[in-house]
Amino acid sequence: MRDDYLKFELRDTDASMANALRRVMIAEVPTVAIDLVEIEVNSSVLNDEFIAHRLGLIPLTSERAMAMRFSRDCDACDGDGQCEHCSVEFHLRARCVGDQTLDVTSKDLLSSDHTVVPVDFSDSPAGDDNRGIIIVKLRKGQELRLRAIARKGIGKDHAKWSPAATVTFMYEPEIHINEDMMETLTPEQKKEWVESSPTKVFDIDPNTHQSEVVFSVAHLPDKTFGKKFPRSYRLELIVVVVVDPEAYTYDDEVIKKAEAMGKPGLVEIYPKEDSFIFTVESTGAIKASQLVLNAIEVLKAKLDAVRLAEDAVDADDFGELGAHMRGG
Amino acid sequence: MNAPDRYERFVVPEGVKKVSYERDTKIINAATFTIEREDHTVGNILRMQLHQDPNVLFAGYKLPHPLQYKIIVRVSFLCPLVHAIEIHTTSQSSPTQAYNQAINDLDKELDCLKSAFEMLVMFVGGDGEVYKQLLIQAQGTMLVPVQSWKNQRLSVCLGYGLWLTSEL
Ligand SMILES: [Zn+2]
Repeated sequence: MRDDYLKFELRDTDASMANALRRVMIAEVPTVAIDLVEIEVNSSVLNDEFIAHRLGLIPLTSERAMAMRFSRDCDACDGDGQCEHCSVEFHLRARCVGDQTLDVTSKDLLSSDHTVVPVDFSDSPAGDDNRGIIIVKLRKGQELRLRAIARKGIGKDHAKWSPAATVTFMYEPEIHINEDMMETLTPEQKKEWVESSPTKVFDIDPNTHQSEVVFSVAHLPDKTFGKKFPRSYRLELIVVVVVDPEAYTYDDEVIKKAEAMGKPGLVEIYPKEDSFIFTVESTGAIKASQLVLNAIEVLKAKLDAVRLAEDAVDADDFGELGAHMRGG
Repeated sequence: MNAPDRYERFVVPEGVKKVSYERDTKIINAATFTIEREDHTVGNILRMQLHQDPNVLFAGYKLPHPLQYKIIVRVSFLCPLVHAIEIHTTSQSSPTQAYNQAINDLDKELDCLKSAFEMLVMFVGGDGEVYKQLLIQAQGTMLVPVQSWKNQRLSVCLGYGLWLTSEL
């Protein structure tokens, strides 16, 4: 669990609920993104629309988004960006004066609201440099000056509002090793089988006993058992264990390997159909954990909206046909 | 030029009802619900929740066309003629009641999931120290954190049979 990454397990529910949560996280949890750009000066190599599009895709910190209003629902303004309920204004002024190319990045975007700013990736493990997202590069004499308005929106409208980089879920696998059959394999075969899995699902138990048994056969003449008889054995008792069921990708490689070794049924793997392993990656607009909580909240609101009004339910009870069937 | 606005996909137009329903004229205790501006997200969970209701004989949904932003849910009830005695003795219900009950049950499930998840974030968010303290506090309550063999994952059971496991 990190701010932008979360892995958890959801049990005792069905695929419809898991999928609803996934779909809501991707497409219906609101964030704030730049939606309107007024270019004052643009002498860069990129055209206005191109820059406006790039600005839209910059993730902005959106903890406030759930409480904000959609611009189209806002009755306190006419959508000019000065409204505290539905929009945040940004300004960007950059001009290259030196001989060196100037990088205009998300750090040059000045926000009118300190809670809504371009996401800072400087503390993420991926990038140690603190440069922000490059919007455009300017040569000597080129200039970019603009005003942008960020609004609340959802991924269903445009992917720039999606807070999720990836949200996936998989059935948790249930893995059964046939211990009796496993014991018929030689240590080499066991190692070979363990290594046949592309992901590290199985391993040799680290507590495996390894002992050397030295046969006291020195007093016998070599010809008793023939020249090739070894004087000592390494007796290995190797136990194969499941180390990480979640790493299994349903690739069937270990099952195919068992069959190829002439041991069909060595392992049986079933998906548990009421247990899901979720992986949530956030764009940084909101924390991954907050994304899940917001998704639950949004889904609740959606369900609330599709509830049938009480009077409709009551009216239905006294429906002509229903009354007739029950009364008669 | 004549492209529809993007928001038409999820904003119910003025004068249109979000949910409307129609009783079937041929089959008793069957009804069709039309939900505007919703998709598989709501359609599928509603259908699966309705399947949990023992009184529901049939529940299905369809998205008639990808450019018609609505879903149609059909619910059919056990026919009162067949279950005449039960209908008179047990609580009477109708497709509309079943429909609202399904939504209420889903709502409860989500509430429970939310509190379980909040608990999980409390446990694993921050550092291991918070977790250790909470582990001590949680002993003897209904909340049972279970550490798996790896000592890196944490399961939280919070009633209603809901489980959450997370890596620490
Ligand atoms: Zn406003």
